Amino acid sequence: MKPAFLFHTLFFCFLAFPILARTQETWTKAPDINPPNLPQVEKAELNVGRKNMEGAFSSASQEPSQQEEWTKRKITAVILSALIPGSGQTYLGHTEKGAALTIGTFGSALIAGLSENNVVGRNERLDELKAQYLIAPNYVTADQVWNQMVETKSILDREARRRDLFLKIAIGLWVANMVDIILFTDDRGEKPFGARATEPRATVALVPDLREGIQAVLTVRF
Amino acid sequence: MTKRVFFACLVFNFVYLVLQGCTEPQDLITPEHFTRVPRVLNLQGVSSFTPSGKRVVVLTWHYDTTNTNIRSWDVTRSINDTATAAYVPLEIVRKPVAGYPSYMDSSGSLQTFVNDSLDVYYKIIPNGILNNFVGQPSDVLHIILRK
Repeated sequence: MKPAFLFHTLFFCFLAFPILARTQETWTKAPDINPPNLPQVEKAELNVGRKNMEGAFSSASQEPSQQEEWTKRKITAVILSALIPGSGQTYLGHTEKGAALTIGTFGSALIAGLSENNVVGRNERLDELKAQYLIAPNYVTADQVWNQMVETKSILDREARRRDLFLKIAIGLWVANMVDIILFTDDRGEKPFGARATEPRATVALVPDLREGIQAVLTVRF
Repeated sequence: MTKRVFFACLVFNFVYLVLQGCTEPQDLITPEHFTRVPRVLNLQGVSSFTPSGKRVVVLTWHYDTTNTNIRSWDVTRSINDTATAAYVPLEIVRKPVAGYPSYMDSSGSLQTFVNDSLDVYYKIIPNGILNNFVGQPSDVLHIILRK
């Protein structure tokens, strides 16, 4: 593996450390509702407003510090995101973001995997051509094999570059996914299945059917 | 702190495993077919007549004498045709004990020709000792013979 690639990847990963450090502080500390640089009058208004809000929603409201603690759902989401990028976000109710992360990461990983497969194949082809080159009986044959080797090598390098690029993207998306699930994704709460799909819109789904195989179902809500 | 360390270890292990799993692209070997057999250099030809009046073409060429993987040269000729398949082997010239090789072509096809001139093309092919490797053919030498 190229040192530059290793360096960039590690550098990108270690970028997460300050963010993680900040995260821990955010989850353990209650937010300061009285900023020190505000005038006293504004501070008083803020406190009055806060008490009113607490009074109005006393049954449903929670302290901010409690809201940002590690709940079971949050821990589950982090584990899910570590295993399948984007699944934690989906679990917490951010379906679009979760889907984008899942598709992006798996798409990049798929391209990287295919490129890796091509690299392996081209390496084997290069081995075969080397053997042919060494036993070539004359210059003309050796030159033909040599030209094939040069062409194979250029394809091999291109595939390796593509693999490295998409591997970087996949790792970057995975790290971004982890940072996002830990830092920026709040829990939208558990909702019954299909409860959000009541607004007017059209959906297409592939439904497995034992007799017919797979059926495409188009649903339009007015 | 534990969570941070756990996450850092997770990321590091993931990246390390992914990087270690990648295949390193191979490098090309050094091309040796250009120099496996010494190339024919400075191929020259002179047309003249023998004392008996026969037309003769004298070919001379050089080679890298530091490369000892040379046994002989095939002298090929083509008349009025530049196609690769039209070259006919004339003779095998052995490596001389000292100096550079040469070849005198006074065959019958050079003695009489219908037109005013005759285009003769020569190509020299070196033969190596190791594995009987046939080396890179020389550039084509074009000689025009006139009546």
